[in-house]
Amino acid sequence: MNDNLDKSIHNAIKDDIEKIPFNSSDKIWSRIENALEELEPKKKPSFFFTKIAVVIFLVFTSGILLVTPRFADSFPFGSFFRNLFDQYLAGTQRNVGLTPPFDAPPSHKPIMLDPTDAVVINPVQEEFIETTLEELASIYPNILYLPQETFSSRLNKAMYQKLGEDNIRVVLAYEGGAINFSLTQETVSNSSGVGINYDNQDAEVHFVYENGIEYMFFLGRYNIITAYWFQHGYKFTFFGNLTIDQAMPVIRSISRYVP
Amino acid sequence: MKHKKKIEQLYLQFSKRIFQKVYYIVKDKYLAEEIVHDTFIKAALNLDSVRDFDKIEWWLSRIAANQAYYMLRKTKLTELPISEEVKNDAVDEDLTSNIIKLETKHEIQQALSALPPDDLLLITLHYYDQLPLKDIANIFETPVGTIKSRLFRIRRKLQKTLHKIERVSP
Repeated sequence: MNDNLDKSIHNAIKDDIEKIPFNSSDKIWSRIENALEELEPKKKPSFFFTKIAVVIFLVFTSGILLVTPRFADSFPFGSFFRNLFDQYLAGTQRNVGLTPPFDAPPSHKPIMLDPTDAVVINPVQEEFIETTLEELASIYPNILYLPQETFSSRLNKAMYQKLGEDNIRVVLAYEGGAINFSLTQETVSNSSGVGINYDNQDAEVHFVYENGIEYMFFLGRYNIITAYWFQHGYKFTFFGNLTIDQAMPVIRSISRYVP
Repeated sequence: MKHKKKIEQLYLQFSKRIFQKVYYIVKDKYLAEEIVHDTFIKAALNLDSVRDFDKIEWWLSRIAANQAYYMLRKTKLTELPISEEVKNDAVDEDLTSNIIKLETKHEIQQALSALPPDDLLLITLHYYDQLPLKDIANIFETPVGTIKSRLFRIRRKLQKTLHKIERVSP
């Protein structure tokens, strides 16, 4: 009875199942196909193409670092890589430049101390003339710029040089305090851009951008730095044996001299 | 999809039988289609785990049974009005009166159709697919002992129905 029942159940199920029509095969398969396509993982770029992309990126970046040193300096470790390329690909000689951010510099015709100066045919003066701050202020009223922060150094020497009828160059030397430095102020001309050629095994060039002014620092041996920047319509040069961090407070404090 | 060709081949070979079995249990064409769809998607995702392709139909049937059982629970089809006992007189009488003149096989078919879908699934897996009790227990997530007692209960239920039919038969 049991075996018969089992067999009967099996046959009954089999007969029932086998007479069920299956008309939706294509419809179901079409849905399955779509679902499988959606499940398809997005094709990742092959390792070969990834490598090619990395190489292109490196070459491109290196090119930028190589030809635009200032760009390199604005990135972390940019200078390191740039120097590396310089060393292995382009030697150690470097050229960097700083151009004035403005086109037309203000013209301030110097007031001549001696009437005979007024008749000098060639006003270009190659020698520096030592003078005092008061005298400079009277020669160049309202256009002299002095540092307010000097770290206790005092103005030791003031000199000027006439570079043309309208062009001036003033050098102020400070000594005796925590730092010794000199500040040069000169009229900006069409050729006022600063260009430095140096060997990067001995020196470095760094750029600092602050309050809209770009300062170019040339770091030589023995902590000797030279900073160049354009401000108030003049080109300034700061020279001293100190660090950039020490120099910046002095540079920032430069303002128009009022006797 | 790397297994698409293989799945297509399996679909052509086994989809009809799987659909028929599933439809037999759930009695709903759209639900059965859904279960077949999900079965082959799951198969595509797990085809790497198949070691013995001679038993691939058994493997697909297991997936379909799992899906069917999941769908039954989800749609609560396990709670059909005719559920626990065929001893329900109204059902028995109705069933009996309708099949009284039919052959034994047809009588059993009627009796089976009165079973709730989860019992029907269990019966189908056991009598038609002839799956081992251990595998059925896995599908139902219950111990083998529970499956045995359920099968025993369903058989007794069917027997009762058949006896009644026999008693009232001319």
